[in-house]
Amino acid sequence: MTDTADTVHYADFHALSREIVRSVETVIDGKREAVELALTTVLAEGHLLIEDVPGVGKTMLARALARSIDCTVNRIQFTPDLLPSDITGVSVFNQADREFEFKPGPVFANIVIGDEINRASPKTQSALLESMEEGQVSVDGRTYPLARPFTVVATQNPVEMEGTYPLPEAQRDRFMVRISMGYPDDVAELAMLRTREKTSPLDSLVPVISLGQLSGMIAAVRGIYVSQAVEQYAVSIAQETRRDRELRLGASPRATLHLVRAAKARAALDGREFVLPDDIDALAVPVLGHRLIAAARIAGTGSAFQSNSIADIIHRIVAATPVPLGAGEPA
Amino acid sequence: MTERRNTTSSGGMRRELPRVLVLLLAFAVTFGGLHTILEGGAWLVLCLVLAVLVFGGGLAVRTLLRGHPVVARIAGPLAGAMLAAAAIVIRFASDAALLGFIPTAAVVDRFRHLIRDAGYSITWQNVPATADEPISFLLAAGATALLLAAEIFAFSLRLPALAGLPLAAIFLVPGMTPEGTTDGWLFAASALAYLALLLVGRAQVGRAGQLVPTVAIGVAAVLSGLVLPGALPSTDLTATSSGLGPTVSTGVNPMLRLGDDLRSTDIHVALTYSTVSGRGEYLRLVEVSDFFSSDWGPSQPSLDSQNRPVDFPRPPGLAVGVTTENEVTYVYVANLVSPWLPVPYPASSITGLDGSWQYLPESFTVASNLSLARGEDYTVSSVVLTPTPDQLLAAGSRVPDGFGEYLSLPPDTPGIIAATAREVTAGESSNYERALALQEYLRSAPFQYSESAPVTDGYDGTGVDVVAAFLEQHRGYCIHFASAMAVMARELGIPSRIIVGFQPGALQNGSDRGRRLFEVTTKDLHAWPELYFAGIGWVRFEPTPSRGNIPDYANATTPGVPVVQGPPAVPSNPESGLDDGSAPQIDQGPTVVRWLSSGQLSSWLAIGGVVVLLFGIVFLPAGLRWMRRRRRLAALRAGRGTAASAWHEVMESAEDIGVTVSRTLTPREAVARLHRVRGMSDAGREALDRIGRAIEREGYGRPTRDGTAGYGESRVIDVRSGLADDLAIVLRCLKAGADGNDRLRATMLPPSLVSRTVKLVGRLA
Repeated sequence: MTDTADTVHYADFHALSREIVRSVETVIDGKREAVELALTTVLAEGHLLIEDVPGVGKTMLARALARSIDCTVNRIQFTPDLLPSDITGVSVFNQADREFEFKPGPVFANIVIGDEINRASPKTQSALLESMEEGQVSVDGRTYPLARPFTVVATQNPVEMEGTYPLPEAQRDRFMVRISMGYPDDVAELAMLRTREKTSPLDSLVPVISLGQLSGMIAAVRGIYVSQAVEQYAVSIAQETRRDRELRLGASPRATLHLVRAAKARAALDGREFVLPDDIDALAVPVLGHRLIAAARIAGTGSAFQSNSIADIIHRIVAATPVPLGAGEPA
Repeated sequence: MTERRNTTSSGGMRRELPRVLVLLLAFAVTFGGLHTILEGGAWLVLCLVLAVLVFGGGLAVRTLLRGHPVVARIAGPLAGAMLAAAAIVIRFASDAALLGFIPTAAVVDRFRHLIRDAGYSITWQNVPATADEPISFLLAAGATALLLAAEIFAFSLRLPALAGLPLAAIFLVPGMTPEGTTDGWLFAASALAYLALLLVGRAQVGRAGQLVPTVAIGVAAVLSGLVLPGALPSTDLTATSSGLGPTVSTGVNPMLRLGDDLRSTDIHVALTYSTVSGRGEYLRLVEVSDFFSSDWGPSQPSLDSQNRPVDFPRPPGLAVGVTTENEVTYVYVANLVSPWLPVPYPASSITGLDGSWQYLPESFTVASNLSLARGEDYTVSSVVLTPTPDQLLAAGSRVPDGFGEYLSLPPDTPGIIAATAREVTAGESSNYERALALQEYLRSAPFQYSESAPVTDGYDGTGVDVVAAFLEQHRGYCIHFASAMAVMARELGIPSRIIVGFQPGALQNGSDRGRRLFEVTTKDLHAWPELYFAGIGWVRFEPTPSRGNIPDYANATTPGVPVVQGPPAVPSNPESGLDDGSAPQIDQGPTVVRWLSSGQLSSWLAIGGVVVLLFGIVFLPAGLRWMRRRRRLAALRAGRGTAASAWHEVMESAEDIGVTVSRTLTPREAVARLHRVRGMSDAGREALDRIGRAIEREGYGRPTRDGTAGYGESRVIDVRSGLADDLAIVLRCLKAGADGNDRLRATMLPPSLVSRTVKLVGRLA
């Protein structure tokens, strides 16, 4: 995949992003927040973890998002017997050329959908996660760069479900954002019944932006301005999570980095050229929630269901952290 | 740049001159208002000189330093202060100063004494007070401080409205002084001058919210002037007639108002007493021996804490041979408010006093500069002098050394006094006989007791001229009779002094532990002469017809008392002196009481000072808060302000009315919070949104080349445009939504001031 980015002006950015959201929403109804968070992750060059019980549309969201962008999409269904090479690809001996030839695995795509990632063995999980972090795959001593842009959208079931291998915290940390879909409200559920009667709405989905436009949007997000005050604010929140007595594990420096990068994307989606503390506030739970571990007395190990207490702790920390104003008053 | 500066400054000079003149005028008029509590005019001249020096010095410095406006703002008041200080040194301590005006340690010492004496003078003087040296000094120092405050407000801080505070402080002084009255006309004039000041200062301050503080200060000043005096709790020092029921107060100089007291129809019980012997006593308050000024009064006593009245020395001049009788007097002071204690003469000890009292060794009067007589319940041991006529005759015309003070008279003493004295005593050979002759002369026709005649004929009061007039007119009351006898005695070489106190009072039906009880009222205030005889000491006479009693040794009916020739054509008859039948009651009221009750000048200046201080303290938070708001608005209007200025102002104003916006809220959340505040109109919300967007751009946006925050390349929005108007709208809404209490607190005790101070301190720490 080539990485030719179109130049996207801020005025166009907003329109394009609306298009994507509208397109995805024809499939996933009533989940605006999840959709926007997913888009935010893609634009911030992060990876997305969608965590929820089966059947609420996790995969649907991932596929709709991928479909709306004119880019390569691969889907990997994780099972207990899936091998690392099933993801990264293998070198096979070409009898004709009498040499090994690399057959790229499904990870070589702009958007990789990893379904039920926690059903695979840790060894396989880590194969994907390594490529996520490094943006490349090494097979038999050779390194193959992955496509740009590259986003993994993984879904997983809550850990209590049978046959799951929970992601270790080090690997959860690689996902920029974790969202949970939640059940649809009754209106959305009724509408879904009607639209799914005949065909899958996914089939009628057509790309609304080109890969070049997506690259342009990502470049635009990189150009978003983050003031020192906002950086300070993000750092303060991260440090508070490390100090908080109700948390056993606080946010990593990578988490802070992800928080600020996601905030830039959110600012751009909001039509702003600079990040506000409000962006940080809004993304604190999605970005930090899956990385923090509550102290022993608080039940739960990071699942979306049990992380309510984690979300509460994050809300409390955010609410207690002073917001630097950034602008001084002349004396 | 330099050129522009020069033009603005010279324009400033032209603009400033009228301001300085108006300010000068305002202070002149306001200082003039003090005439209700201070006599004479020298103090006013002093104040005006100081005003000219302070404002003139400031103006001169600002003109000289016109290229350096900031330096000039600081140097202006400094120059004024130095000029005023030099003037004060020249006026009060030039002999102790280097080159006449450079302060030295001796000058500081002098000032310390002046301050101490001022406290004394204030305590002991009545209203209107004589602006003596200590009071003048205190006035000069206070005036300088207030003038400097005005100079700083008006020119250094450019807040001419606040120059009203020092003006109001001066204006309040008479209102706070017991008996002090505010001169309505002068008040109106100073109010006009203040308005003029605001008018000429308007260009300087800009438009922002000038009206509210102006009106607030004016209203506060007037209200305090009207309300505070009544609302303040009465202290011992101020306990005169206000709020404590009927009291009798005497001042330091009871003589000044003696006539008023006598003429007053209000009669209050001053004290009750009983004696072991059952006889009534003359009770002395003060001694007057200096006849030089026109306002006679007790000289400022120098109290010595050693002279505690438990043990008096032997009365001056008393020889062993003189018969004395011991007497014990039980006194309860009911309603007499006085720094002097009523005591019979000569006391040997006083017990049972609560306050801190000292006796004066010369006069045997008892005084305090801390306590007042009211409520004292004490026992006086004294002796009653009963010299025989022979002993008095034996004194002859001898006068021991050291009595010059009791013999001196002003050089311009009218000749009629000496002539009359000599005429009356022609043929008498001893001082005793001369004294008897004088007493006899004054108690006989054509002398008449009258409290009104001296007022009608214009010779009421004290002084040798009054005595002369009295000797011509033959009508007067106790003060005139006592003065006449004392002055004539001095003309004849007999040491004399005037005592002001109480005549014995009326016998009551009740009794005090079996002793006869006497009640002394305001009408018993009295003045009488004491003359000195070698070997006997000070001896009382009673020249006033119909008042008191004549001591045995001076009573012609006593066996042995020589019959004097004198001119009396009519035999001495107590009743003959009365000009109407009710006279005994009428004259009774010696002036002392009134003097204190009316004026009790006591400590008016101290109270005034306290009020000024309180006023300052009370309005300090409001002033500071108002100044900050004004500065921000002015900066925004001038294009110098930032969104942060507007933002902080909104946050602090919200905090002031009790709406807390946590610092953990983002600007956007804070705006949303304020949207819900009571009183917020749609226009207010829109203005809030604009301010919120401005602070976001300024605080978090990409800095533009000129240091301000912009919004992308293509859509640069000037964050300052309209911010002042938006801020004004939001502030109006916040104010409209606050209830009366919140609004009052927001104005007078703005909480934001505290939190800001805490923040600043925290940052420093």
